[in-house]
Amino acid sequence: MSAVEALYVFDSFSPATTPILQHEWRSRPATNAASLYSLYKAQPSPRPSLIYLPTTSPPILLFNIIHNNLLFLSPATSEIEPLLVSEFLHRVVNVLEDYLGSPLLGSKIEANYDIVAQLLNEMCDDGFPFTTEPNALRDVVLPPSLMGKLLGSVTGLPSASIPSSFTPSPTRTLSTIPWRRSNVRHTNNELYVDIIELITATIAPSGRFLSARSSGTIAFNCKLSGIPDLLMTLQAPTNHKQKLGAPPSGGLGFPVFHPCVRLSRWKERPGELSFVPPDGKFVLASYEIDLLPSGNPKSAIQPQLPVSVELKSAIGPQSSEFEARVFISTASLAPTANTLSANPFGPRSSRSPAFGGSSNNPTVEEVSIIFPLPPTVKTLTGTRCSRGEFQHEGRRVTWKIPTTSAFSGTATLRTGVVVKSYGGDESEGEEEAAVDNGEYQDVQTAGTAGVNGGNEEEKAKRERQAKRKMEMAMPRCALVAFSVKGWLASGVKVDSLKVVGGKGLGEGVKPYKGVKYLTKAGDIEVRC
Amino acid sequence: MESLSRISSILETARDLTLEAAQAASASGRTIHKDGRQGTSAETKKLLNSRMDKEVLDGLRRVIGMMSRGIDCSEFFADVVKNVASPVLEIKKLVYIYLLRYAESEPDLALLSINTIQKALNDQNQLVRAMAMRVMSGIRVPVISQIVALGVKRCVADMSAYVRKSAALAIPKCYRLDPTTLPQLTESLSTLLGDRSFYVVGAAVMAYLEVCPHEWGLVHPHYRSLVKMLIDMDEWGQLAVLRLLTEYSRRHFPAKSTKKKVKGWDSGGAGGFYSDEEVEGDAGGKVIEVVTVMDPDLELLLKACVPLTQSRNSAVIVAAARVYRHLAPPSCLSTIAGPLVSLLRGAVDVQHMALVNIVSISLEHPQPFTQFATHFLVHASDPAHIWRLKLEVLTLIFPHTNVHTKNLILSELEYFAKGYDKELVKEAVRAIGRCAQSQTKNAARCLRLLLRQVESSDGTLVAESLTVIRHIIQQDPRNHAKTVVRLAKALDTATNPSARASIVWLVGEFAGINDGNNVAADTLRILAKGFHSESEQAKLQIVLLAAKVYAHHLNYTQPAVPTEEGPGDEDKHPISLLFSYILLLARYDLSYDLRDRARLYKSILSVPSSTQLATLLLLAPKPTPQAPSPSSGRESFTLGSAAMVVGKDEDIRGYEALPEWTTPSRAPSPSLREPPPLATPSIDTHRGGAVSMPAARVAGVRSASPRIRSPHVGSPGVGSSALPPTAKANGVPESLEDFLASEEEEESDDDDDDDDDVVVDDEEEVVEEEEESEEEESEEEESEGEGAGESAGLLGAK
Repeated sequence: MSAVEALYVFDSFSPATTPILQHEWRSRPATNAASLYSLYKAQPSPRPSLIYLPTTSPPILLFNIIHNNLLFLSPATSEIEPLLVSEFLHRVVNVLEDYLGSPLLGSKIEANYDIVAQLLNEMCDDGFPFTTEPNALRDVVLPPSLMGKLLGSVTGLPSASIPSSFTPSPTRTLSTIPWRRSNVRHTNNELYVDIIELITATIAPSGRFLSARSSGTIAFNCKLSGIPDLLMTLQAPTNHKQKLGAPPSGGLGFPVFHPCVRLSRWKERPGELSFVPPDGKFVLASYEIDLLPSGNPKSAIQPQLPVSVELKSAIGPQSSEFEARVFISTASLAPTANTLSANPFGPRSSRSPAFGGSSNNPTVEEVSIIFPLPPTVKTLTGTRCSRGEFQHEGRRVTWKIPTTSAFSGTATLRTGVVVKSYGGDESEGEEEAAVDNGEYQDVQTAGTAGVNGGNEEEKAKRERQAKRKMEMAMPRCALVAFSVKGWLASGVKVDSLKVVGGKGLGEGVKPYKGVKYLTKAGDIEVRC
Repeated sequence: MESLSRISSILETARDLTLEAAQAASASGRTIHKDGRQGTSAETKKLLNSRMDKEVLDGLRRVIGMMSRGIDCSEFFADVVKNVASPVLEIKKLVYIYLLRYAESEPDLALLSINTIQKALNDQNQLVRAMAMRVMSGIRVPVISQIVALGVKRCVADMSAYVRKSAALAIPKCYRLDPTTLPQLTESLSTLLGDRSFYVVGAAVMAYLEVCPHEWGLVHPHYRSLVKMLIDMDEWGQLAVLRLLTEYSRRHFPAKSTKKKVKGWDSGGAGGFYSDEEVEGDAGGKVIEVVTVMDPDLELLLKACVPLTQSRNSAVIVAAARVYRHLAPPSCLSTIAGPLVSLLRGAVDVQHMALVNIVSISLEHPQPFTQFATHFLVHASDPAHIWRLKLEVLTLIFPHTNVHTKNLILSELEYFAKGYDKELVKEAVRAIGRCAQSQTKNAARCLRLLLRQVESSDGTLVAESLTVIRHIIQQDPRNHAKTVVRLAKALDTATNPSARASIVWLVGEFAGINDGNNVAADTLRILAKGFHSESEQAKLQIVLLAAKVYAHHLNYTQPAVPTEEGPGDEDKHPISLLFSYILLLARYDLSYDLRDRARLYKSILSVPSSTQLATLLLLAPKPTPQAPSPSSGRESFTLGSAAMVVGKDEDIRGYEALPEWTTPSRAPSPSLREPPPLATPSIDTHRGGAVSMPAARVAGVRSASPRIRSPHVGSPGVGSSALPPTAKANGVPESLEDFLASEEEEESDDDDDDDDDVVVDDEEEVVEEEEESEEEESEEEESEGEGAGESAGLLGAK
């Protein structure tokens, strides 16, 4: 009944409408890949991830995700939980990226069809997800490098048969822990933690925050031998803890965890993550934190962001200009950064410069402001900005502001707007849904201009209309993007990370541990 | 949870994919023909027939490559299949992949390979055994169904959990091949459902759902162990089990068994499962509580779902939400509201599904979502299918939020009502209308907001606002007489023709209130002055207004003077004058439509005998329009189903609505769910006891702190059966060392030694399970008394 029936991957780089990869887990479907693709393309963009195609026989639920330039389509002919398919497709992308290297590209799939086919065969059996853990797959499917060795022509092996001992040991035994492959050996034992937070915020014209949230992800890159048992202690900012009425999670809202995390430990002592990690890269947990204290936007304390924007629209003599001022300040970042000075990682773990920007000195980078423009805007005139460069493309202006390490200050962008004429409207034909209204106004203005040109009242009316028209051509918000290394908006930090047990890691071995913080503005909307 | 690939793309600097693609293409350096073929088929065949494994492997890679591109490779069938006996695992795997795809088209040739595959079922390597099982069941050649069924039976008793899992998934394949094998398969399935490895049970449940989803007899004895194992299964297993148990619970737990208890005020904890209790005071001063008592087994399931809301897999979170939505009392929905909302931080596709589910819950129970109002603010980057749902959630929770949030929602809607995206404007204005409709208290405020929009120059906005205003007014005409006055005033400034027309129509509808003593006639007088400059649309409405006003006028005056009416009298009254003036203007209008209508009204209203007809025609009461939430109807679907996402108009194949709750009289005895006696032959301990731990132990795996989760992909000789009993009870740090040490020892052990271990192990298990069941019993006894507080704690903890 409910099964993932097939997977088709299309490459947007290639003009062909045939998939670069097709894999069917059940019997050959009635609707082939090419017609699915054309049906998919027939839907108006942006397309939802589940498209129902009632016209095919039998009707199809078409699931789709886009990764880089690859389109993944998976049809289903009967009821299935949509998120099951979505999650499975994301899992396939992750596994392929893990095996073939990031970023995942069509050419990489084409060069490794045998491995991809094995993986897909292992990940799903008869339409049911089977083995999806990357580590467990490593036990079963050889990565391309080992596969290459098998095929390598210069190995000088007696070529009549590859001795079975050559088959790498992992394929012989399966790991006893579902998410960790067996027999992990590393010459250098290293452990890297990345905590990434994405800020989502909406700021009202008054400058008040309507909402501000930070969603964090704890990503790991674990290269430890044997089966280590780790304990990581997170420290949530105390002020949030108090303000939020100390929720059981210790300030981290709605965390979700990798299956390796012992949930009861977290429940007993929030902030403590006890787990046996998978080998390699994985996402340990994710959480979100409301940056508005007690969730009340009216409270006096407002979250401090390193970049703020002031947007004024409909200014200038014809009220045909808008101006944005950007304030960049690293002052607000200092307190969090200082608390890092206590080094929790023992003597060996002096922070290496490889950890991106010394975390004691967070810097604001990649500042860019995007102004989405209304469809009535024809072009921009007299655009000038005090720093950086701007780019007008389609219906948006992107303004990039370069920052140096210690940059703090303001930058301004001001521009005029030229509105499309009505004639332009009609020829474009794209946006005037209520055409008759437009015509009506047109007739009226033309008529009054012709007959009552001198009439004061009419003139005022016309001016008012022109002003309204300009207002409709102003951007209504600015989208702010920036990234800060070494600082987390929520103030969460790693208190300690210890290997508390396990086996296989030699007695005297002290793994190298590193923690990196990164905050990105995910979706900060400043309205005007 | 964010996917790893998204995280790594954030961490790494942005790269130009086009460049990367070019590099990768040049680096791969292999010659791939335009149509995807590599080399000629003769070359490939030569490679496949080579005696060197390396060449065979290369040939197979070519074939698989072509297959993946969708090129027909059936010509290589014989050449590929003869390699099936190759000892090299990599070759075997690729041959199997080929077989799965093409055996159907060449059944006779495929049969030749069956013997070899059957032999592989006895291979020492569990991977080979599992693969053989999967291939044998996957090649769709009906004649071998008996062999497959035998194979399944054999693999069900395999000591490796990996092989047993493959066997479980082979069951549906075998059933499709030949439905007559069902009795044998059911037997195997029943064994697998009782398997001690959660790794296997998940797959067994998937097979059960596929093959015989209504053989409840198979599920009864395993219900409790399924619930206990839930937390430790892999995500896909959790999904299958939750799907099964949701339906199981509806069919086997009577809706709500209520008990009346006489209690004092202070006894009994409120909240949790009991928070929907009704408290009634009676004459004696005692309090009778009608307490909803849940079947303890159902409660077990609900408790087991709480930790699942912290799964990284969004589908599992939604499945847990489904359990709460359809099985728990509405007061418990807050447990899952937060986790559902937290899905909004995921990818767009996950956001979409999460929103659909949130909408469907909040159509009936909006309260749990009120505190998350800011999560539903629309962002500029949201695509249409996302913001539609977000606006809908906002309007659904609107009546239940506090004043501050109400302000927030309304100003948010107002902001979007002024945008330039026409669809968004329309939707936002409609949303304001729904806010007004849901709570009349706020209608005034919403109206004020909408009235402000009427003067806008944007036609879409004005037209949409007026439609919504009309809906609001029509719902409660009596209280909105003043609004109409305001609207009539707006005629001074409103320029949009359709807006003016709508207002005039509304004024006309209200021409009859207060016995004709209202603004309608006056409005008409003012409009008459500017008649010439109105648009045709508005003129039509003005003429209609004139007719309505006049009809009302006639109705008031006529009964008093039934027959004596003469032209002289009529002319005196200003309304009659106005009416004839408007008719005169309309008569010489350019539009013949207008002229026609004017003539119609004139003739129908000129003769007293037709006044009644005119009244019916012009003053008929209009039905109150309803603007339901766009997704209404979705709430009747099972949460998390594709049918719900697609909507009510489509019939999704294979969708079955959840059954209604069973009645207490028809519910089966809970004793059915007692686990079977311990004498069940333990498959795991058959050899090495390697594979899995008893369910009782497993259930606590994620709770005992310093212990590694139990192994479940067992391999011969690797296992944890020698884990000393002390280690399980309360995880002291040493226990882990012991555990690991023992595991290491065992790795080097021979099979014979393992057998010795087994004996010990079995005894331990017996002891362990007895303890466990005792605990259970005592818990059940206690639950009567303390249950309230306990469950409240459990559910409230979230």
